[in-house]
Amino acid sequence: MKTFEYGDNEIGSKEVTMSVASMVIGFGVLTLPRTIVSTTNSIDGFISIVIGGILILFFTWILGMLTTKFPKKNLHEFTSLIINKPVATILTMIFAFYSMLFVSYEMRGTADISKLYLFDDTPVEVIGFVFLLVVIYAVSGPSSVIIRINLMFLPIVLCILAVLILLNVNFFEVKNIKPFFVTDWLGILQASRETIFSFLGFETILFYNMFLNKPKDMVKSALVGISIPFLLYLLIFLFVIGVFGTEVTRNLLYPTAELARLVEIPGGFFERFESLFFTIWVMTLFTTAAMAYDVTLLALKSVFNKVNRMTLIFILSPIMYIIAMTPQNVLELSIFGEWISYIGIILSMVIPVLLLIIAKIRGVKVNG
Amino acid sequence: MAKLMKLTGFLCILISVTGCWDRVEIEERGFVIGAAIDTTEKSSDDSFGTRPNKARKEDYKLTYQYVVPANIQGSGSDGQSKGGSGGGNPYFNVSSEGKTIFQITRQLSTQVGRSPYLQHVKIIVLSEALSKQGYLYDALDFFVRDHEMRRVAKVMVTNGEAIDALQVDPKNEPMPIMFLESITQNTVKTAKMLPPTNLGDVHENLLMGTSFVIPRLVVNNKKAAISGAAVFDSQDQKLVGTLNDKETIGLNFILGDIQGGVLEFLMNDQYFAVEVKQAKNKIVTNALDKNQMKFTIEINSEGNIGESYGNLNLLEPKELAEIEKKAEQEIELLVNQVIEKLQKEYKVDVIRLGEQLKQDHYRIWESVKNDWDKGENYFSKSVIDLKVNFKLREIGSSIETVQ
Repeated sequence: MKTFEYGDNEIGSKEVTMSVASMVIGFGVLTLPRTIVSTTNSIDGFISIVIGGILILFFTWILGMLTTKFPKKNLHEFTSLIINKPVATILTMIFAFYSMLFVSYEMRGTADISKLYLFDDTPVEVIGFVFLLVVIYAVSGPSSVIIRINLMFLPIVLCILAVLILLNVNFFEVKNIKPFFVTDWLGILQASRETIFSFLGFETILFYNMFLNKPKDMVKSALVGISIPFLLYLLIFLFVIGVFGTEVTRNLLYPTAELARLVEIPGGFFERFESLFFTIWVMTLFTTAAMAYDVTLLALKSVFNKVNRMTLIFILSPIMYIIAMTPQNVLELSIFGEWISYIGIILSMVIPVLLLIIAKIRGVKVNG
Repeated sequence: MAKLMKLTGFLCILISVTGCWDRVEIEERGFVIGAAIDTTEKSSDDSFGTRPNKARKEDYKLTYQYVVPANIQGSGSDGQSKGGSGGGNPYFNVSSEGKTIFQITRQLSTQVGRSPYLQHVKIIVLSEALSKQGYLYDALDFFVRDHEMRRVAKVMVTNGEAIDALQVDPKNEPMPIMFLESITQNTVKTAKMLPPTNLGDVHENLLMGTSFVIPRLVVNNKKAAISGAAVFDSQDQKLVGTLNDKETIGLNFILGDIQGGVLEFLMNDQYFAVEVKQAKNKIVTNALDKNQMKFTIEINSEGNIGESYGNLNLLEPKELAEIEKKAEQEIELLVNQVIEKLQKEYKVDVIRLGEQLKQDHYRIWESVKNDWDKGENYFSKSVIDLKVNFKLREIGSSIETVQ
């Protein structure tokens, strides 16, 4: 009988792949094409995505290397081993703070865009509140539950996105993606910075490491997980540019959403694809926010071992809500997002590299 | 006690989070299917104090066509079968004047109980006067910005007042806008009208600062026809002129946008009609000299014989070759006419040679793009060569009609 298997808190390599992919695909998909073409011309942003993607693959590999060295341990535990306990506590707290901001950002983003396209009269506060309630419901259970939701959601999300791209083949114009190689390197590098921002989220494996039943597979499955959004971004960028052209993309607030709104099968047979698109898009934001929240809880719990998970949720949720509602408009929200991304880059790239180097120098060995 | 608390908690959540804030019953929506924008001579109140010179002097007059769903079934506009409830018109037009489109749209809520719902707007008609004054992007901004609008709504320019377009006799369709919409589908039958230009295309052209064409709607005495093209320049994005039927066919050939069309010419002093099924183009740029750029446009088209009056033996290869040659000459004539007009008279590049240049020779394009079809106007100085190929595919089911 396998009745109790669900109760275990272990995840396999497939779960890691899916979680990394779901975590990364989030708010950025909607705006990415615009932020890329704000400094590049025509299809040259492709190079930026490739540069960003390869960098991220490298840092994912570093993260994987780091975590496989310390199987079944989370950030707090292995940092205490590598450096010492106080540093580990500070680092973990920063991490918790970061992922808390992440949840707030995703929540506000969902609320803003849902209001823009779907609920004209509903206040942002209410949409955000409802979204947060659902996220709280998700994180009330054990972490493995959220991770397993990805197994269910991600295929749906990818299918709908594939359909979105297929339905736009008609609108694709080759003239929009030509000429090639006309952007200077500075522009391309600036755009790849934006790309890196939208790849953030993979650092969650620092915490999910402790649930992994086959720690050796971590590197491979995380790399596969990152490749999914990598390819997706390339495809979406290609199509947004091919359909709208550089100039228009630069002037659309959410180009990918506009792509969904364009779909029209002749004869009025099928229109309004955006309703489907927004559904799956809220699903991805939900999994991203839920995982980020879960990571916040795991981080705090690794520091304050005795505090109950539910107590933490009750303390954190109002704070998250207030932070989310602080930005006054889209502009402030994007500045907020940018700052979170900077913290994210430090936490997911700089710190792991440092930790790995220190671990190598000190020759830290794992004892069990 | 704990149970009671829990229950109250659940009830509170249930009551506060279920339901839909934005619910609007479908009967309460005012479905707008078309919009017409005119400018008015006079300007209303001057609540902005002294008007800066840059601001528009004229007011907009916006007309929306609403659908009355209850009257759609069984009520032809000529009143033949007035069944259903009420049996009134299945549509009505409401207009209002104001400074901004947004304001007028809201203002219309004071005139119609059902507030305008723009998700179903199919066509936006602009008046010739408005286009000539160069208010195109002004007038369309609201439609591009508003989240209810979709970028696939079609844009047209009329020969007179835009409001007339909403009052045409819809003939076999229930509503004027549906009637116009059904005409736009006919690009497979004739090349005399441009393929539909949608809001997204116009937005793209405005952003890129290129010249462009928009299908022209000719309304006379409640009769409407889509024919020809309205030409907008890249300088101020104003209407600079129009292309007639024949020139539009030529333009369509250059753009390779032909899905169906008719060519007429003389064969053995008798009229002869050929149906064009498709045209594909290939532009080769040769941009060595800025002041005399060379473009070679190759048009490959094919079609069938539509009508033959003379006693031609259509099974004779020689005759067919002759027909093909005549068709090629006819296409060349049409295309040359429109190129001549665009290069010499309007001096605007709506045949998108600039775009081709940008794709093939980006550096050269960067150096000429500000003077392409304005200022220096390298476009009108460029040399355009034509190569036309026409292939006959079918001759129809009869070989000769008279002996």
